[in-house]
Amino acid sequence: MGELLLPGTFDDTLNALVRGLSAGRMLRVVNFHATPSYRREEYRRQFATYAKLFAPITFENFDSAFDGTWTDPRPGLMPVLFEGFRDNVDVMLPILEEFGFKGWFFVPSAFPAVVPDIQRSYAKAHKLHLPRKDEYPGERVVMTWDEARDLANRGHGFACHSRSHFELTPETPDHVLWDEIHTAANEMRAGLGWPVEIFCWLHGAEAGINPRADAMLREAGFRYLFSNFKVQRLA
Amino acid sequence: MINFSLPPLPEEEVDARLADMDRLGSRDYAEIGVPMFLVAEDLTGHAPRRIAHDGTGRILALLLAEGVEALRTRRPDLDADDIARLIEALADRHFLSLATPAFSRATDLHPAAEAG
Repeated sequence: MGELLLPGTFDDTLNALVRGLSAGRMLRVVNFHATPSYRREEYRRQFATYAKLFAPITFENFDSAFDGTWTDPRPGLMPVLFEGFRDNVDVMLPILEEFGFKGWFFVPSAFPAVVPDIQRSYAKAHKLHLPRKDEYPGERVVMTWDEARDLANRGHGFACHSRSHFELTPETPDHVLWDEIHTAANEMRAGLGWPVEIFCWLHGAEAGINPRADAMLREAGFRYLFSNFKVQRLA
Repeated sequence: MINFSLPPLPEEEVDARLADMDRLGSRDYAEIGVPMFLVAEDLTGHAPRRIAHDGTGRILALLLAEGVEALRTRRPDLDADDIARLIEALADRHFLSLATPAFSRATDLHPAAEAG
């Protein structure tokens, strides 16, 4: 058995996916994590191609992209950048903006405040995989909240990727959930200056895996849950 | 009524798709962009709005169902990771092709019509 959890049977999930796809209710995403500079040209070529085929999913049109009422003749595209690495800002941001896309940054809320000296060991302890070549020796590897606020003010999106890059299970106790959801929501709000509405667990658990977590996500003001196969509107 | 059900995938095609899934799964996910299709699901209890769509999702649904059935012939006990790998392989093959506009709507193919 792998790392991914399902809330019901395999066939339940398959049926839900087939029904949703058949109805045209789907979102096109491209998932990134670290974006080191030695891959810059590769990323650039990909976004040059995407720009010919897709329209950007933005904060303003996210709802229509979500529910299938999208009207642009081109499908929407949502570049998702997980973990909040510094190279997302230094390498990927200029490419996104060159081709008119908005990035969606999924950040574990505790990560930006970790002091630079121990960011690498924090990353290693929390399954935050840095690139194979360290491009910032002796320096920070995580984006700062100042950078995050600047990105948000330029129209890029943010999501809360739990507090500590946490993997939800059906048994996760309430006090841990509270930290990973409520404390994380507060840290995202303090860091960005406004609340975020999207949440995503490590390994993408969906609603139903832990109903206590689902209720707490709603309580904390999250409206969308990104998971391995779905984007679920919670509220 | 005519039965339009498709014949099962040939063994060679199943092999090719499994090889595709293995190849994709061995990439360095920490550094690359991975296209995916996510299904949008509304849990708020509101009745789903009627939507206009171009059939792309239906194509993907059929390909996903077909892929699961083919994989089951080799390994009956499928799990969530298999769904992830199947959708990833579908996205790898079809992410760009299913975004290409219809021939008659591709303006760069019909410059005269665009000018007129």
